[in-house]
Parts: sequence; C-alpha cells; structure tokens
Amino acid sequence: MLAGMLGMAPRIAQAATPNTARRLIVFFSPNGTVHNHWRPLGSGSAFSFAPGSILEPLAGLEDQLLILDGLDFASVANHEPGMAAMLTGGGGANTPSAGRSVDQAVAAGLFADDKLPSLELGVQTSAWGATPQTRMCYSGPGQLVPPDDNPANVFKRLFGDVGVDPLVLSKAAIRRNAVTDVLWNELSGLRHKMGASQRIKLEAHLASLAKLETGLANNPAVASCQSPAPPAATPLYGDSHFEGLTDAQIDLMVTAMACGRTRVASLQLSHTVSPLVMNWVPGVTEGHHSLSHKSDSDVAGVASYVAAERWFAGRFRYLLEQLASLPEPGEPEGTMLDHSLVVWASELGDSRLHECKSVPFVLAGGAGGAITPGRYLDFGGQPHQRLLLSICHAMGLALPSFGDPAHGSMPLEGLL
Amino acid sequence: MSARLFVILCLLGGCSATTSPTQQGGSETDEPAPIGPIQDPDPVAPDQPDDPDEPDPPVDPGPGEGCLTDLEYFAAEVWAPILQVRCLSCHATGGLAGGSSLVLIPWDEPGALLHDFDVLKALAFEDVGGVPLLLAKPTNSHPAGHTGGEQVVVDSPAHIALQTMIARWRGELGPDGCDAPPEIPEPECDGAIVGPQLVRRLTRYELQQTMLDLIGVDVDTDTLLTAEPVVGGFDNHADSLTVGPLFAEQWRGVVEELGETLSLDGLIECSSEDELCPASFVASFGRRAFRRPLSDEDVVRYLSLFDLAASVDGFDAGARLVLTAMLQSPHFLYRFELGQDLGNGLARLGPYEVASELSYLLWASMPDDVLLDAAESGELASDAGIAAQAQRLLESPRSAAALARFTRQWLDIDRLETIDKAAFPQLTPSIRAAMAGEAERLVANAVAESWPLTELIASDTTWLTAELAWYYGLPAPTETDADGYGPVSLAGSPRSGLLTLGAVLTKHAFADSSSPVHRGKLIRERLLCGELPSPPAGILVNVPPLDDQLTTRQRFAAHSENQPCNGCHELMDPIGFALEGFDGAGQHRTLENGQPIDTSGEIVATTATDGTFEGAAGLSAALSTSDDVARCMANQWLRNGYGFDPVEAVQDGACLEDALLDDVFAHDMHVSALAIGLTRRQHFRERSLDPSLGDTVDAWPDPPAFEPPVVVVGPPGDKEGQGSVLQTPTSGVEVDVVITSQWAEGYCADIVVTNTSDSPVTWLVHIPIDGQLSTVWNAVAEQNGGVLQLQGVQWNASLNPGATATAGLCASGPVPESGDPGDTPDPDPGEPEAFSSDGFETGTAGQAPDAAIWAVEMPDCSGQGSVTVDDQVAHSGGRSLRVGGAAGYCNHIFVAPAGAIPTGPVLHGRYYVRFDQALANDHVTFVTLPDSAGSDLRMGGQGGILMWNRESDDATLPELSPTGIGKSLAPSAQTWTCVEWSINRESGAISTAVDGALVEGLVVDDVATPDVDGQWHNGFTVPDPAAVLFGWESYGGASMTLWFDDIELSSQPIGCL
Repeated sequence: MLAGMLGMAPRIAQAATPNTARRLIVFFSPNGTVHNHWRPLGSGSAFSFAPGSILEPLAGLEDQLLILDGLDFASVANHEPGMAAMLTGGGGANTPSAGRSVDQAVAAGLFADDKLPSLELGVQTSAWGATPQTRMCYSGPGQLVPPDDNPANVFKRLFGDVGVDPLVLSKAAIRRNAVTDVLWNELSGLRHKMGASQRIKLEAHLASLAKLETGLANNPAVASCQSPAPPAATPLYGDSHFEGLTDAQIDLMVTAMACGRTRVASLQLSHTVSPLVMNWVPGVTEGHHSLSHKSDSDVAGVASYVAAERWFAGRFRYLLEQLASLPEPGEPEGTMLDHSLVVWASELGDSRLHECKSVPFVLAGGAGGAITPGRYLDFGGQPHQRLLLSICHAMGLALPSFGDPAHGSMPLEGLL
Repeated sequence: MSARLFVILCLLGGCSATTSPTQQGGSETDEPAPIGPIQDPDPVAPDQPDDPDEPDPPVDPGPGEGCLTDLEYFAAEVWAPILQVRCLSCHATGGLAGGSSLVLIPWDEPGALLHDFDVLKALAFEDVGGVPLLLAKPTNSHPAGHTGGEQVVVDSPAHIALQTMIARWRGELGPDGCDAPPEIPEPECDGAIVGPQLVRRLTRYELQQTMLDLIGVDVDTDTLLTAEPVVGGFDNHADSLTVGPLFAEQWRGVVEELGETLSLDGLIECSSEDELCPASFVASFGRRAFRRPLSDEDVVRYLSLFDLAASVDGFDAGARLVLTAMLQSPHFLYRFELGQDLGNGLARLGPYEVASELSYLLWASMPDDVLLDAAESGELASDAGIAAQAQRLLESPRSAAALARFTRQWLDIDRLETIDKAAFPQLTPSIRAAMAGEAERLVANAVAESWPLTELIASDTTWLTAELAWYYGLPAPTETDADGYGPVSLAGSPRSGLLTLGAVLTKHAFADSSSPVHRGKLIRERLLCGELPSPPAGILVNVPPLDDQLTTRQRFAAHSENQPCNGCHELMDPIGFALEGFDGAGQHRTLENGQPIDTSGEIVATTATDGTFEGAAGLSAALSTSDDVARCMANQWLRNGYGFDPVEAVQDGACLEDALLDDVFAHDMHVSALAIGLTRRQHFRERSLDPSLGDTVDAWPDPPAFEPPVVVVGPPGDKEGQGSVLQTPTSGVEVDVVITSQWAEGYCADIVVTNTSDSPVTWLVHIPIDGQLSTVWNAVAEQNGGVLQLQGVQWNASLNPGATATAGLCASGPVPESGDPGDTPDPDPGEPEAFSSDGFETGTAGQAPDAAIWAVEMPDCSGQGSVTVDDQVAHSGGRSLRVGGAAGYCNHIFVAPAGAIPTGPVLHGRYYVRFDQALANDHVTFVTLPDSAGSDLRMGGQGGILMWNRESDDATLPELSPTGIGKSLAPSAQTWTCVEWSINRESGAISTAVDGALVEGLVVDDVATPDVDGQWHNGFTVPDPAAVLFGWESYGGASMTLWFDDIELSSQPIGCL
C-alpha cells in the first residue's frame, strides 16, 4: 500500500484495444493431450489441421480460432494441481485476481450486479463429490464453485418462469420473499449461538440467500431470445448419457446467453483423472484417464485416445456453430460468436508425463474485435497466467496481474 | 520398502508406520482423490523386533531410551517415514531428481542409512529466504518450487521431525540434541477427549432419508442437488458442508415444487375448521422437521407465513407455505451440536441434539417419535438412556440405511450401477444391483449378528440372489428374503468375505480388465489407512495395454520392478495381485489368456500386517487378524460418525481410536461395537466450548430489498380456472376507504375496517378496483378483475367488537367508489380550490413573468440567478419560464404564485420541467414548499435522481442508499417531464408521479420502509405548505438551466396533459 502511494504500484495494464468481448465461455475437457497429434501444421496465420489429428474436427473454422502452444503452468505439475491452477494461475486472496478462476474474476469484476454473474455447467463432474480434482472454478483460494450437472435443473433455474401466468409468479414471489425473510432472521439470530468456526457456515448461507434475491433487472430482456424447450429427462450418470448431456448443456448455455441471462459461462466435461469410457466413439473401450497415459509405443492405445479427443473437438465445434448461428443481440450485423471469447482449456500438457507444459489452449470467436483469431501461436514456455490476464483484458477488465504475480503481471504479447 | 526395513528401525529404537488416519492424496488410479493436501502419518510407539536375527543393524542403536542420538532420530523419524517413502522415488540415481543435490540410496542397499544421513546433513545448513532448504522444498514453498509438489504439510509431524532434525544438526537443541523433545508426545488418554462444537448440514443422502421419514416422499437428492465435498472418503465432513448459492437455489426449487404438489394427507392431524389447527400444525410438523419442540417465537414466525398464504388461498396453501419454509430453514438443514456452557470449558449437548446425533449416526435420518419423546422425557440426559436408544436404533431394520451408506463410502462402491463395463456384457444391470445388495447385506449382517471383525473380513458366508449365485458359480440360496437374497456358504470356494464381494472386485478394476493397482489402493487406503502420494511429474506413466499373450499381473509387473514407479506401486500392486483370481467384473478365473494366474501377494510397510499370502483367502486371513485393520476401521467409523477426523483435529484425538478399539476388544471384536462405541464416548455428549463464543458478533445486514412484483391482472373473466376464487365477505364489519394520496394515474388509500357486530370476527372485505393493485400493507390482497379482496394478517385479522384495523394500498386507476360491505366515505369534493398558471403566455420574453401572477423571490441574497420568460422553448403554447440556475448561495432564485395557494387537506401540484443537462450528484432544489414558519419541504435532486428533502432535519426521500436511489429516477435532460405530487396536510402522506407513473421511492405512507421513507419517519412532521416556489437553489457546485411550464396547484388531482 505504501509502495503504491510512493508511486511504485504496479502499472495498471490496459487492454491493448478498446474493443472488448461481450461474453466469456470456458470449455473444459480433461487429461491433457498428445502434442504430436494435437499441433496444427504450419504457423502464424498459415496453419491447417493434419488429417486424423485431434483438432481436425475444427477444420473450416480456422479463421475463428487461436491455437495457443507453448503455455506452461509455471511450477505446477500433475492432475489435481493442474486442475486447480488451470483457470486461477494460483495467486492468493491478496492478489489482484484474489485467487479466483478467470471466469469468476471476470464475472465479479464486470458483471457482479447481473442476476447470474456467471453460469457453471458440467457433465458428470460430481460422481466423486466436490474436490479440487473435480472442480475448476474458484471464487477465492480453496473456494470451489460447483457446476450444475443436471440440464433439467439448469433449465428450471434459467427459464422456469417463462410462460408462467404473471399473477402466479407474482404471488409466488411475494411468498418466496416472506420465506426468505424468515430464513434470514433465523440465520442471523443463530449466528450468536456459536463460535467463529461454525458461524462462518451460517454467514455463507446468508450470502447465498442474498445472491438468490438480486433482481433480474440488470439483464435486459432480449427480443431475439427464443424460449427453449425443456431438455429431455436424462440420467446424470452412465457413460452412454454423456453425449446427450453435453449437447443439452451446450444448448442451454447458448440460449441463456442469447437471452441475456448471463455473460460468463463455463462447461466442464468430466474432470481430471476422468474414468469416462467414451464408448460411443468407435475404438474406445477404456477409461479416458487410462487412455491418456498410453505411450507412443502403444499405437492402438494412442489412436484410441486421439479418437476420444476428436470427439471433444467436435463438441467444441458444435458450441462455436451454435454461437455463429445466432445474431448478436442489439447489433445490426455480426453473430454472437463474433462478440464472444470462447476458451477451450485443459489441465495438463502431455498427460503421460503428468506435466503441465505446453498445455493445449484453443481460443475462438471474434471477442468483439479484442483479439485477432485465425492464428497458431507458440509462446515457447511462457506462464499461462499471461493468457488469463489477456482474457481479462479482452473482456475489458483491466487487472494489473492474474494469479501468481510472479508469473502473471503482463499479458501475452501479440495475442490481443 | 518391506518388513525388513522396519526391523532395522525397530532395532534402532523406533519403529514407524505408514498407517495413517486419513486417506489423503491422490494416486495414479481412476479413483477420487480426497480434498486437501497430504497429511502425515500418526507416529506409533516402537514395537519390539519380530526377529532379532534378521539383518545386522548398521549402527549401534545406542541407549535406546531417553535421549536418542542424531542417527537414531534420523533413522526413526526422518529416514524411514519421510525420505524413503516420499523422496526416494525421485531423489535417486536415475530418478527424476537424480541430478539434484539430494540423491538417496534405497534402504536395502549397503550403507544406505549412513549415506543418506550424510547427504541430508550436508544440506541442513542451507537457508532459502530465511527458511531451511530442507523445509522449503518438501513443503513446496521454495521460490523455485518443488517439482514433486507438496510432500510435507507445514506443522505436520513430518514437518516437525524435519525441523527437529535440522535443529539438532545445527546445534540448536543443546549438546545432546534433546533440550526439546524430539518426538510427538504420546497422547494422554485420561482427560476429556472431546471435539469441537459443530453445525452439520445434512448431506444429500441424509436429506433423502429424512424427507422419506418426514413427508413420505423419495426425493432424488443425488441428481437434484450439487455434490458434497468428499473428505477422506466420506461426504459428511462437517466443516466442508455448506449451503452455497447453487445448493440454496436447487434446494429451494425442490422444496417449492414439493410445497405445491405434496399430498397433505397425514401431515395435518387437525381439522382445518379448527381455529387452533394452524398453530397445532406448525408445532407438530415443526417438531419433526426441526427435530426439537418449537418455541413460541418459532410458532409465531411460521404462523405469519401460514396466514400470508391461507388468507388468500385457504388452509392448505398456508400449510404448504409453512412446509416450504421449514424445509429451507437452518433448523431443518443443519444439525446443531452446540450444547450448553458447563463453565469448565466444555459444553453439554442438549437431549434433542443427542437425539439427532443418534438417529443420523445409526439411521442416517431424523429421529422417530420414540427418540424425540426420549429426549423430551429426559431419558437422553443419562448415559444409560443414550445406550438404550442406541441399542434400539441399531437393532431396528432402519439401521440398514446408515450401514449401507457407510459401506458404500468405506469400500468406495458407489455408482457401481453406472460405471462402464462394456467389455463384460455378462455384467447386467440386475447383476450389478445384486452385487450392491450383497455388500450391504454382508455388513448389515455382521452388525446385526455381532460378528467379530475377523468374520466380516474373512466371512465364509455371503448373501446372494439366485442370479448372482449363478454368476459366481455358487449354489443358489435355499432361503431368501423378500428381495430374493439368501445366505450362501463360501466354504470351499475361492471367495472370502469382504474383498471378494462382486461390488469391490468390479468397482476397483478397469473398464476392460482387472486392476491390481486399484484393488491394492483400496486395501492400502481404506483397510490399512495408509497414504499414497501422487505420482511424480516428468515420468512416463504408461498403463500397459491389453495383451492376449500376457496375464494382467505380467502386464503390470513393470510397475513394481522399475524405479521410480515401484516406490509407490510396491505398496499397492502386490496386494492386488492376490485378487487376480477375479476378473474386472468379479467372476472367478484360474486362467487368463490361457496362462495360469499367480495369486501370490504381499503386504509391506505396515505396522502389524506385513507378510506374504496366497490368493483372496490368504489376503483376507492376513487382514482379518490385523490390528492395523482394526484400528483403521475404528478411524473410519469415527470420521463417518463424528463428521470430522478427531485424530487430526483434536488434541490427543488418537485416544478416541484407542478407546473405540478398547470397546471393540471388550466386545469380542464385534463390528456392532464400533457403532455403539461412538455413542459411548464423551464426545457424543460434550464438546469443547469454542472460545470465540462470547465474542461480539456484528449485526448482519438486512435482506436485500424486495421489489414487489407488478401484478398484471386482466379483465374479470381472464382468471377463470386459475384457482383464485374470491370468498364471501365477512358480515358485521364496516370498511372506510380513505384516500391518502392521489395522482392522475392512481392513488394510495387507507382501508379502515371496523367490527360493528357484537362478536369477534376474522375479517375479509371486498373493494371495487378499476386499475391494478401495486402494493398493499397490513393486509393480504387478492385481486380478481374489478374486485379486490382484503384479509387481515397475523396481528390484525381478528377484531373484537368495536375494534378497528387499518391496512393500506396503492393502485393505479381512479379511486374506488365504495367498499363492500360497509360505508364508503365519499366526501363531496365540491369545487376544487386551484391555482392555474398562465403557462407564462402573458409574459414578455426575456423579462420576469407577469407580476400579477408570479412573484420573483430571491430568498437569500441577490446574485446571478435569473428567471425570465422564454419564447423559444415551451411545453404548451409558445412560452415557458427559463431559470438560469447558478451555483452558490446568493444565486438562489424562485417564482411563486402571487396569490393564495389551495388550502384543502391535500395539496396537489403538477408542473412540467425541462433540464438542459442531467441532474448532478450535488444536492439541488427546484421546487420548494415552505410552511408558515418558513421551514421548507423541497423537491430537488441529489445523486442524480429526483428527491424530496425536509429542511427541519435534512431527511431525504428516498434514503440515499443504493437501493433507495434505485427506487427514484433520474429525469432525462432536454426533455419535458411531467411531475405531479400530492401532499396530505393531515396524515403527512406524500406521493409523487413522473409522467403519470408513481415513483416508488418518492412515496411517504404510514409505514416506514427502509431505503424509502425510513429516514423520513424518524423526524416525522406533517407538512403544511404555505407557499410553492419554482426555481433553483444549489447547495454544491451544480448550476443548471431549466424551464418550467404548465404549473398547476389544486385540492384535487390534476393529471398530466
């Protein structure tokens, strides 16, 4: 603080361009990659995807993509640490990003007054409970933000009031408010009956109630919003349901954004050390984690893993196509994809080595002009905190650093 | 590592074990890693060597007791438990850290101990940033990081051991190194060993079981609610369970839907006709929902909710709202284990707290009536009473639910139903279900039949359906229960007890094959309470591919043979090999890919279980008689039952394990003694009092302001079939509608209800209404087209003869003509008193307005402010009043009607105003209404919004909170805005409308509303304006050019043009 007053404060970095993205989407698939099957051919703006490679399902969208190579999680290795560092870049509560994951930092920094500052969606993230292994979003150091794995729940939360008689809604709102008042009084009163270690639970509960009650007013209704059909009832567990759940969550996410319900969303597909057997992909009979550890000498095993990864690439493509099919609300031209920043992240580099080096990142979308897609860039081992900082800048959030300040005090050069 | 190492260590005077109370840390299998960093093993007292003839001790063990030599201390506390377990896999020649300054030698190579001692000592004098290098690296706090991550947790026993070792070498502990005790003191097991006071949120499973018992509905909490954190294998870790935003929203959704759809049959035991029935329902349902009797305050709180809904939609609606609220209440969602201060640092749990402890421990659900009655009668105040109820609960068939949950979590066999086993098509859904049932029945029988632990682990009986028996190749059961399970003897079969449960073998395997790693890991972690670190980074981890030439054991042999894998895999794979006689779907086999299967196995690096064995039977026999396993079971039960790990969290917490084991030993090793034993500990009845309990707790802010929803009501008839049927108005009451304020588009009114009959009534009245109700207070309203039904709330619903209740409302549209029944005051308004300006049309441009109509006032001193007629700008006609409003005290300037203003009970005003720029943050006034004493009521702006301000106490309307500011509005610049007010000179009510719409933040009614008229009510005075002035008065730096036009004052509402 004193240093700041003496003029030694870190330079407040500004986004390199006044253009900013309207929304941020994080897309996660687990267990890293096999680089020689992931890397595009060529470099810079002249690149392509080799036949049969992991990213080939994205062919044709090259001008919407930024393929990022050579980004390392500094001083981090292995599944669980990688999962925790991926979106946070480390960093304690007193750092500019406050230990938040990049989605939460953007939501808190820019959209805190929205009804839904951020929307966390998952597919089969929770069979092992909530642990640093199964979570990627953080509201602070050690504070996991859970995704909602159930499309039916998500639909109800987002669109449950669509089409309901306003009188019924109004009556329900009055009663709900009366109930909240009772709960509020009970919780604040109970706080006095216990010591600090237990009181924090009730205070967290109160904070949750407060979050539920903030109004929708800050999210203007969007005329082009189409009220979606409720998703089909699908069991949440079982490998055979993974495909359907993934598409249902993507559809809900895109509709939620088209309808102005939220501006930051994440989709977490399974989790690190995923046991998912992608048995709908020809040639895949083993769990995803097992496949991710096939060494190059196991040609069939690696081929099986590549097939699994290509499926994730296909779902990423589906998400991009959905965004590209909708006009940007309030704009005479341009699609939602043109104004979105979409980030495909993973928690490991080469999974076989349990390393977080050259972690595969793919950015997509025009980000409202904040980034120049259509390039394949190699950052040669720079810390990924710089990417997280660049993402904030592309969203218009001018943080001086992201995550561990030792690594994240400048954005990636040449990205924005 | 093997048993030999421990023999060496024991000869050195200290044995160390890798048994740990926790199962922290991940390992390289498809298994969930629990939350949190790796914790450290519990130091265990030295054992006597099993075989003194085994290897030669490398050094003289020294005195053996009292003060250890540095080498003894190193061997016992640093080398064996830390270096050789956690560091060697990388810090070895050829290992990942083989090039670092720390390169160790495996224990079984000659001279390893002394070599490693010297290597470590050489590094003991290096500091990094003031911290010894040897502490910075393994705690991963070195500025350059530690590739192996965090291997030692700060302040853990391992950390303390390293600290002590470094201090010894640096000569900081005196000449003999023993000035500070090098070892963690053995716990004293005599004193009070109690854990903390706890608040425990119900888990999803407990919620499901509780809802079944409470309302008879099976709620699929598993898919509807977000997952709990899993700590050490269990989902009920008290300090990790919270109500986060997602959980709160999901549970509210579940409960609201239930509240609407639930059948109330059986939940309400009284007749809804009975006046006392609501209170009786609240009290009786509340006692079960909150698991304790309700206080009077509780009842009143929920009765008011009951009334809110019942007064509109009837009794059931009231009951449903109570239910919806209670199920979201903290009294329902949390179990409180807080107790009463005993004055000695302890708190004694109350009988109802103990009742919930018992029922959730043994039933995973709420207490039944018998248990609640036992709490009420005082039975649970005594140890004997607790014991009797514990026994009753355990013996009840309902204990199956809690035991099944424990079993599923302990053996990690959840989700058996859905894991992918496409390579094993014979593993049908019904086989999977039968396997889950088998596991639950085995444990439930072990408890019910008071089996010893030995028999649970190596049981020669299991419970099978006929289909599962066929699947296993065993004879079908001859006697079966209702679900088709019956006991089947395993004698003579390759199966044995717990470890050959189909569920265990199938869950702990790969999708397409068995897995010695997974099975070994399960046994290492869940039966031996051992810890397994994560695999180091940078090493090529290769899961061997299926190979039709090799057995699984051969495929995985590399794991155990090659550095650096074998450091950990030695701890797992050789255990799992003993179960290789079973494939990845739990079926027995003797050949794999045509080759015979080797089922020999070995356990190493334990305190009391090391050895070799053959097959599942041999493994089961070794485990069933192991003290390590017994102690580990005790630990699992403690954590599962108490919701935290006493060994970690409580001083001398390990004594709880000892005490529990004593109970088990005293009861012939009965499994049931584990469950009952938990209820016999002091912790079950008493807790250590949280020292921060007496601290001042800051008041928590009020809930977020509620925006009353806009009620959209169509014409009568639109509502057919929507459930709102108006009820018959009460007879014998009189209704007065007193209009308190009115503007062109609407009004506010007091509704005064008087009981004119001779007996008490509960009132319900109808009032005609043309527009839409926007807000109501002190009553519950239901609008059906043109009829507004009002009913009292808790405190004013019942009226004694002659008594009066007053409610209030605001609505759009014209005022109602009459109430029904009862009189409606319809005072003849007569000719309104009015002041109508000339619209400044008679003035001369550039001059002050017509002096016959307007007087110019400069109340303070004459300055730069100006008021002139403007013929360039007008709302109507061709002219308006231009106010050149400057900043500063002397520049205040106004015009006022030259004649009298209306004097009726309500002063209505209307004017059009146009600002050349938006209102600034600074406080300004542009209309002011002084009373005869000159005290002003001012309409102006602050914070950019329209605002009223009272000079006498500087109160503002709305309050200038963010919420308050949000309830007024900022007039647009360069636009004509119609402003209307009404000021009631009798009640003090004020209402303000802009462009025909009531502005919520600019309304004073008879109820102080936070953020709106809360502050206004503090120094409440009834305004009596004697004059009305229009102009500009700036208190900060704000200047403004503004125009007025079409100013009217009246005793009647005026409206916009």
